[in-house]
Amino acid sequence: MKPVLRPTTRLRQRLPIGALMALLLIFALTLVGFFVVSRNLEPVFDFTSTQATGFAYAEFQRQIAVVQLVVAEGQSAQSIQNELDILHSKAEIIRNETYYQKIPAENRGLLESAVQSSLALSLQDLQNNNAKGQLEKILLGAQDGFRNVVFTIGEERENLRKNLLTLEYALIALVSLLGVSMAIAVLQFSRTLRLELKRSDELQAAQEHLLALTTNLRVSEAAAEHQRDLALNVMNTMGQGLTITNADGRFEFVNPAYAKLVGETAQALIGRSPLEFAFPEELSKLEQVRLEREAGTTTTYATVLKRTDGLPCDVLITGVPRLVQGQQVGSVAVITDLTQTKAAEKRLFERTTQLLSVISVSPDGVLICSPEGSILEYNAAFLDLTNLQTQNLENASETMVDQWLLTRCDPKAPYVFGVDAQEEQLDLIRLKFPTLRILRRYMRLMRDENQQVIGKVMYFRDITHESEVDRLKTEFLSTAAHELRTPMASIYGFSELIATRDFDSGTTKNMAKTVYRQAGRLVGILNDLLDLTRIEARAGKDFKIVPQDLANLIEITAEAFVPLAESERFVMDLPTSLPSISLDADKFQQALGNVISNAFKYSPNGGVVELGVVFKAERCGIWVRDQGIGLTPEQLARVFERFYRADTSGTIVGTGLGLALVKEIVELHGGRVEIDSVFGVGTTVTLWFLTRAV
Amino acid sequence: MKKILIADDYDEIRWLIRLSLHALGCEMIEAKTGQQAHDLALQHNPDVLLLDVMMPGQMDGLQVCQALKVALPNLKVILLTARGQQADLEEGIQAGADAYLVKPFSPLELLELVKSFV
Repeated sequence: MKPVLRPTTRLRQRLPIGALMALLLIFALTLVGFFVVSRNLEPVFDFTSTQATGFAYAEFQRQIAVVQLVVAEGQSAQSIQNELDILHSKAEIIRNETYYQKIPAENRGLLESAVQSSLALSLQDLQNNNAKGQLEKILLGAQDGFRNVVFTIGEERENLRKNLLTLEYALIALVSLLGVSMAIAVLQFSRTLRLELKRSDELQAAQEHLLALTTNLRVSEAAAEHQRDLALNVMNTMGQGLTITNADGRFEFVNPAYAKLVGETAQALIGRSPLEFAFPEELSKLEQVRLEREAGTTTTYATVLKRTDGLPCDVLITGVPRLVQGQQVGSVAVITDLTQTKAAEKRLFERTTQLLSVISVSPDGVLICSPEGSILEYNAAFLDLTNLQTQNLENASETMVDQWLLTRCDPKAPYVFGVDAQEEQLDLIRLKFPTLRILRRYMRLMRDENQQVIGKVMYFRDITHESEVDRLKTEFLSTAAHELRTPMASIYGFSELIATRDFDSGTTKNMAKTVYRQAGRLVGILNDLLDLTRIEARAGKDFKIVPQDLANLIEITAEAFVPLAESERFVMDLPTSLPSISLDADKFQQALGNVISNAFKYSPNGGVVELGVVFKAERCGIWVRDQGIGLTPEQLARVFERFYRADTSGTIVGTGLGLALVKEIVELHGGRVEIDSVFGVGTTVTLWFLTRAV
Repeated sequence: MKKILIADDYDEIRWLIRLSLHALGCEMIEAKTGQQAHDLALQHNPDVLLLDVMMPGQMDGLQVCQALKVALPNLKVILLTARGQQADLEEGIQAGADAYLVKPFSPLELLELVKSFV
């Protein structure tokens, strides 16, 4: 509703009434002044009257003269009478004339006697002789009267002039006063008006402001109402329970979520006490938090609600006191159902335990760091792979682990700092100390659902063996190619010479023999290679391991591999009874055969080759000893390498694969090959087998 | 008479080379190890050296080649090797070899090659 404002009321109140009255008075006085002046001016400007007066006296004197004349001329009585009548009328005019009365009495005597004498003058008087003197006296009186009249008029005029001057000054003063008053009044009025206008503007602004306020108030009211609706809506639909209790601790409001928690309807709970839904053992705790709330403290506590069906419900309650002027008038409480949370916690715990178990038994090293770089978790494999100790990692950081690895790294393989890892990173770490170990490290940042980094996981896998196998494979292929090319060079070269050139028959035959021998060697290498790869690939799965008569097996093998021409330097001393052991007969013969052949090949200058059997613990060792060229420690260290030849002269035929094959076969039986050798003295090779079946 | 030094640890290969180059009518000297090849070359100052890369002993073919190319600037060196990878060839060239033959090689080809150097 727009209020009606009357600024004019206030204007009228503010007008100076005293000033207005004074103004009016001045105005009235001025008017009076004007009136007085005009009245006084009237006679000043009344020329007609003075003219008439002058005229009357002139006529009076002239008629006296006329009468004197007719008398003197002795005109007829009638003419004299006529002129006398005129004189009487002229005297009458004088007597009634305005100024006649105004002449002061002391100066009027002559004129009055002249007028009265004129009026009293009769024809008989004139016809008397003495009329002449009388007329003279009347004329003198008239002349004196005229003089006095003129004088009186002059005096009167002088007085009037003086009065007028006074009036004029007064008028000027009044008019000035009026003007000044008017000016003041106008100024005052305009100032007042201006003030009033300003005030009016202010009032207008105030009115508009008030209007806006009113409008805002309505909008605010609407917003408040909307918020109230919203709050109510939220309270009614929120997942958490919400209760409002009064000063007596009874429900004023409960939302459906709370009602559902305790198994009631919201309506049925109004006016009831929350303590109805507490287990007796919780009461003391509830009492304590109630006291705290009374003291004005917000309380958060976990408790168990007793549902109407008697079942417990784990909840977390946050109670806020409702305070009105410092006085608690009840509480507002938010009740969170922890049943789900507890179940989730349990699941999380189980899951974490599972994960930690997996990590702890993993053969791969795992290290988990916080985003700040402190170490959160690691497993035994990590310690194993990096040679770190548990105590090294107490209060340690990711950087420390980096430093540790850096100092143990092969200087030739640059170490990549894990601490700098971006999203994901994969690199190789070549540790040289204490022993060569190649680790493949995979790093990855862990992020939460908001993509915030919550840590870094590092995963270490020992790939030393894999890389070593890779390296050996490459080397093997390269060596194999080389070993095949050498006999092939002889075969290719000699056969080309035979085919294209003519030589004498002896040379040709020698060349052909060489080709034949080298072709044989090539076949030998191929066979050994095939054997070796087959054995390796099958990993003993095709071995027919069955109990064998060991003595018989050794004898057969010796017979097959001891060169006929050299049998006299072979000495075999077997115990009278040998146990039967589980072996693959063919593979055993191949292995032992190789060892026997080597003994003869590498003792080109003769000497005894012995064969014997020893027992140690549950193992049985078949040994072959020669008195040949022997091996240097360096040669001994490489003796099992494929294609490694202790003899490089080329005089001893061999593929360099024999011992590798022997080792493979024996180890697939669960045994071991032992070689003792002294350079230039001889070599002993012992094949150890388990006496019980594997 | 031109001199050819044959250095290879395999007797058969030395023989093969000897037979292959017989027609040239050059004097042929044989060495079984790198060290021996080095010493014999300095001693006899041959025109051509046929040098196996993989030889036993302290010096392998490449080292011998390097050393001799400094000592005997006029010596022509033909490397013989069972390793025919590009990397091996580059190693040979860096060592200063004039030619490179991969085993197995053709004796006729070898003959032509040596002819071009003597």
